[in-house]
Amino acid sequence: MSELNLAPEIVDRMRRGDPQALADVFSHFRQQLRRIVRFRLDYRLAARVSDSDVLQETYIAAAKRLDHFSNHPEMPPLLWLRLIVGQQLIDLHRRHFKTEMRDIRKEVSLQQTISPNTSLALAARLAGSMVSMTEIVVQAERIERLETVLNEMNPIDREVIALRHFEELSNLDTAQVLGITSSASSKRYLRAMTRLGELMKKFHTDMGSSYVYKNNHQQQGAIDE
Amino acid sequence: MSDSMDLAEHNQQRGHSQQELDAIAESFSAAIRCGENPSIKDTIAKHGDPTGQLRSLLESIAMIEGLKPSAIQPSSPTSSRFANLAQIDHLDDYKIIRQIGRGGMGVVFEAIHQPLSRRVALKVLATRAFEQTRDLHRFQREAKAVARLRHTNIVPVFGVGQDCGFHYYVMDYIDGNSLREWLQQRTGQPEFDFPTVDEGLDQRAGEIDFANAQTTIAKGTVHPSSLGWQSPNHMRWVAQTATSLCDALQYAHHQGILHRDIKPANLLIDREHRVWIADFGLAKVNETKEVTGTGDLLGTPQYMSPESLDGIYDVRSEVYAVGLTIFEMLTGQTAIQGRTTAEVIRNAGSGVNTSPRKFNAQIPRDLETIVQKSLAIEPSKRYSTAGELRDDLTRFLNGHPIAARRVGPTERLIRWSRREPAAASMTVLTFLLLIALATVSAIGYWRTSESLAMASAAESNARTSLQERTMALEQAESQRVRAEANLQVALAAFDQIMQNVTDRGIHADADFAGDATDRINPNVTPADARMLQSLLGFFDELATNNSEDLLAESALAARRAGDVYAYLGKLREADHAYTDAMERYRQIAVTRPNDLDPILAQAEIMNELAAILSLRGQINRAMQMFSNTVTQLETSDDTLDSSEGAFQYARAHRLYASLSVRIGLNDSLNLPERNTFRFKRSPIGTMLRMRNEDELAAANEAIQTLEKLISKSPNNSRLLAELARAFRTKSKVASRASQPRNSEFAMRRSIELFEQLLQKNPRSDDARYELAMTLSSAEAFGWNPMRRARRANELSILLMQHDPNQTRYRALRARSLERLAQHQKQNQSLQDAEQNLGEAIGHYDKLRTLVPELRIYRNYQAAALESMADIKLQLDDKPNAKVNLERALALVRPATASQKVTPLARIQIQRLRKKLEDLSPPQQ
Repeated sequence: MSELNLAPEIVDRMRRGDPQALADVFSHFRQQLRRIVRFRLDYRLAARVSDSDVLQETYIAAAKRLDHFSNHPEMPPLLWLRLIVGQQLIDLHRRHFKTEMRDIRKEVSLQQTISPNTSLALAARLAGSMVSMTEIVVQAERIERLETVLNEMNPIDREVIALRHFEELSNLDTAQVLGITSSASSKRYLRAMTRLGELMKKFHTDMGSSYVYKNNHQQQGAIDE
Repeated sequence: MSDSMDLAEHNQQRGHSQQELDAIAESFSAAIRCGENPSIKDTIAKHGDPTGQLRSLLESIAMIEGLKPSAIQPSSPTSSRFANLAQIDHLDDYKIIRQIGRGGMGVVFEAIHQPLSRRVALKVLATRAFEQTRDLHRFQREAKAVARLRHTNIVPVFGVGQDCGFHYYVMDYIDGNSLREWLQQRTGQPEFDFPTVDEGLDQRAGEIDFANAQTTIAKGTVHPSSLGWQSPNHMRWVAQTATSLCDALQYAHHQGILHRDIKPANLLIDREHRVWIADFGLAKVNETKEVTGTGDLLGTPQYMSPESLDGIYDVRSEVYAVGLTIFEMLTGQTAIQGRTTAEVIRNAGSGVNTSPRKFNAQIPRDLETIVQKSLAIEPSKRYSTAGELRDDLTRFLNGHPIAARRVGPTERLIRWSRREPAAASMTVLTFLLLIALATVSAIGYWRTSESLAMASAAESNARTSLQERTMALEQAESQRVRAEANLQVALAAFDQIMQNVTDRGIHADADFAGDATDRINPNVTPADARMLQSLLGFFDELATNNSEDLLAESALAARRAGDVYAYLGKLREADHAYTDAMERYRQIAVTRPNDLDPILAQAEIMNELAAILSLRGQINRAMQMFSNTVTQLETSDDTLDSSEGAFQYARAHRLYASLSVRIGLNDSLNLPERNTFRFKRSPIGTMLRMRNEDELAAANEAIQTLEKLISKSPNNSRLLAELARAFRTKSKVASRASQPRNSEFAMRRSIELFEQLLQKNPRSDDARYELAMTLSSAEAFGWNPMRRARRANELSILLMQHDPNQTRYRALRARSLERLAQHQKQNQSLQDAEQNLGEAIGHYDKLRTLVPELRIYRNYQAAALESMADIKLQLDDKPNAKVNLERALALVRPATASQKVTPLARIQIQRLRKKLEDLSPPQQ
C-alpha cells in the first residue's frame, strides 16, 4: 500500500498539526499498520490483546506526538506511524513481560529483525485455521523450517523479507523504511530471496539424509535392483 | 514499445533485469494475497526464465506467502461489519452493559434483561462466523444441548435469540474470575496458554475497533488469597474444586454431553469460591457427530489428551483434561508446555511425564497419585469416568485410602513408550524425543562425569527444544545416582516397542512362523519400520559410548526391522536390515567366542536372508548364504549338538531343497552347481552332481535331522511343523526327480503331520494355512486329488473369512482354486474349471496391486492364465486362448531389455512364446 492515493495536502495539514488530517492519514494506513501489529505482536499477547487495541493506543500516541512529525519534514507518514506502532508494541511487551524486558526490546524493535518468536507466532495463529491435526503438525513443522532458515540469514536479508512479505510493503515503501534507494532495496530483496531459496534447499538435503538408514555391510554391491 | 522484440530476445539470453524481476515478484505476491492462486508455471511461461532465477524466486515467494497467517485469513477489510458488534446497545429485551470477554466463537457481554431487571451474560456470535451455516448450526446446537443441563456447577443457559442479524445466547451472569485469571494472579506473572481454535478465529473475525479496552472479566476479590501454595488448605481447596468439577462433568456426561474444552480459562470461580463450568462452547451432543465436520480440531492443544490427537475423544479424555487442570492448580504450572503450537502438540502427544510434586513438594502423595492416574497416557489406565475421579478425590478429602495405585517411574516410561508407535506415524520427531530422553538416561550409566556434555550433544542431534533440553539436562544430572536403573528403563521401553510391533506382526504362535512369503501382514505399518530404524540409530549412538553390551540389543533391533520389512513385503529393505543384523551378531560372536547364542541367531537370520534372497531372484547369493549357514553351524560340534543348532541346520537344508520351488516354477532348473554345500554328515556323503538329487539329499538331510530332534521332544510343534514342511519340499523335489512313489509318500506324511498339528491346535490359522498349502500342492496330486482339492478349498475359504487382508490367504485361495480347476479339467468339467480359474486369476490381479514387490505372483498368475488358455483351446476358443497367453507373456516378459530375467522366467517365457506361435503360425 503506497501513498499514491493519499493527497499531499492532507499530509501537509497533518504536518502542521491538524488532528483531522492525522485521522485521515491513520485510517488510510489502517490495514498496513494492522499487519505490522499482527506480525510483531508476541503470540502470547495476541491471545489477549487485540490488534485494534494496539491501533487505538497508537492513534492516541500519534496525536500526542504530532509535533515530532512536524519537526521531521523529510519523514514519510507511513514510516513515522510505523515508528509509533513500534514504540507502542515495545511498551506493551514491557508491561506484560517485565522480567524479559531486554529480550523483548530486541524482539519487537522495528529497526531490528524478525524475532525468532515472530515465526513461532505464525505457527500458533495458523493452528487456528487448520482443519486436521496432521495438517497442523505438518504446517507447523514447515513454519519451523522456514523459521530456522530465516534465523540463519543475516539481519539485513531477514528484515527486507519481513518488510516485503510479512508487512506486505511495496519495494518503494521498503526503500523508505530502510532509508535507501528503491534500486538498492530491490537488489537487497532479490539477493535475500536467492539466499533463502538456497538455504531451504540445503536444509531439505540435510534433513533428508539424517533419516536415511545406515548400512554398514559390505554386500551392498551385490544388490542389483 | 518498438523494441519489445529486442527486449524479449535480450531476456531470452541474459535473464531479467533486477527491476523486471522485482516487478514480477510484486505482482505475483499481490496475486497470492488476493487469493488468486497464481501458477508459477504460467508466470514463467509469460515472462521467460532463461537463467532459472525467476523460478527460484517465485517458489520462495509462494512458500513464504503460503506459511503466513494471512494465507488463510485474507486481509480483506470487513471491519465495518464487526464495528457494529461493538456499537450494539440492545438485543431484544436485553440492554448491553459492557463487554466482559471474548472466547469461543463470539463476544460475551454483561447485560440486563429489562423486563425482569435480571443481570445476565450474553454470548453473541461474531458476524463472520454466523454467515457460515456450519458455525450457526454449532451455535444453535450448543445452546440447545447446554440449556438441558441443570447443575450447581454448570453456568445455566436460559435461551437463544436472534436480533439485528446477531445470534446470541443468554446465560446466567457469574460474578467472578476465570480460573486462569485466578491462577495468573496467584503466580504473580501472566501465564498464557494458547488460544483455542475458536479464539484464534475470533482474533480475525471479531475486530471490534476501539471497543471497550477491557477484555477480561471484572476483577473480583474471590480467591482465598490467604492460602499459600504449600498449605494443606490449598491442597484441600483444589481437591474440593476438582470434586465439584467432576461431579458436574459426570452429570453432563450422563446426559450425553461432552464439554470438549475443559481448561482453566473455561472454569469460573465466583465470589463464594464455587467453581462453574462455563462455555460449553465446543460441546458436542454425542448423537450428532456429523455436524462437527470430521477433520475439525476441537479443543486447545495444551489441554488435549494424547489420544484426541488421533481423533479419539471420550469421557476419559475429559478426565485427562481435569487432571491437567488439577496439575495446574497445584503447581501454578501448565503441565504441557512448548513455545510453538507444533511443540505443544508434540508434547501433548507424549503426555505428562513430570510429577506435580517436582514443582510443589508439599503435594500429598495420594493427591499426586490421583493426578497421575488421571493423566495416564493410555485412556484405559485412567479413571474410566469423571465420577470415579470424583469418588477418589472424596476419599482423599475424607482421609480414606484411595483406589488409585501408585505407578513407578519404570512403568510410567513404559506406558509412555507404548504409545509411541501411533505417535510415530504422525511425526518422526515425536519419536526422536523418545530417543533423546532414553539416550540421556542411558548415557548417565557410563559417563557420569561427562553426562551433561554428552546429553547436550545427544539432544542437539535430536533437535530438541530449549525446554526439552533443560528437562533432559536436569534428568541427566539427577539420574547419575539411579543410572543403572535407568538403563533398565530404557531397555524396557525398547522391549515394549519391539513387543508392540511384533505383537501385531506375529499374532499366532511362533511355532508356525513360516517363510518370508507367508509373512506379509497388513497389521504392520511402514511407521513401525521407520521407528525401528530410529532405534538402530539410538543403539549406534550408545555403542559409540563404548558399550558392547548393547550390541545385542542393536542386533535384535536390526533383526526386527528386517522382520517388519518382510511383513511389509519390502524385500530389499528386509535384505538390508537382515544383513545389518547378521553383521552385528558376527561382532558379538567375536567378543563372546564361547557363547552359542550369537552363532545360532546368526544362522537363523542367514536362513531368513537366504529365503528373502531367493524370493528376490538372487539365486547365487541365496545359495552362498545357505552354504555359509551350514558351514557356520558345522564349525563346532557343540553347535550342531544343540537342538536349536540342529534345527537351523535342518531348516537351511530344507530351504536349500526348496530353492527352485520358491522362485516360482515347478520345473527343474538349470541352476548353478553348488560346490561349497557339503554334506559331511549326510548318509549320501559324497558331492552330488545332479541338481535334483542334490535337492533331494538336502531334503532328506533336513528330515533326518528333524526326526532325530523329534525323537527327543515328540510334542514340539515347531519341530513337527518344520518336519511337515520338509516332507512337503521333498515331495516336490522327488516329483521333479521323477520318483512318483517317493513324492507321494512324502506328500502323505506332510498332510498327515499337518492334520495332526491342526487337531492339536484347532484355533491356529497358521496350522490351517500350512495344511491347505500342502493339500493344494501340485505335486503328487494324483494321490487323492478330489479330497485334497475340496479340503484345501474349504480351508482357504475359512481363512479368507477370518482375515481377508492377509495376502497369503488370498494367494492360498487362488492356489486352491487352481487345484480345483485342475481336477475338474481332468474330469472334463471344463466350464467349472474355467470359472474357478477365472476367480483365481482375479485374486492374483488383486495380489499384484497389494504387493507389487513380490514378482512371484506374476509368475503364478501367468501360470494360471496359461492353464486358462489350455482350457479355452479344449473348448475350441482359439481367440481367447491367445488373449490369455498374451496376458501371461506380458506379465513375465521383462519390461526393458536390460532387466534381468531369472532362469525360471526364461523357461516360462519360452514356453508361452512357443504356445503362441503354435496358435498362430508366422506368416512366412
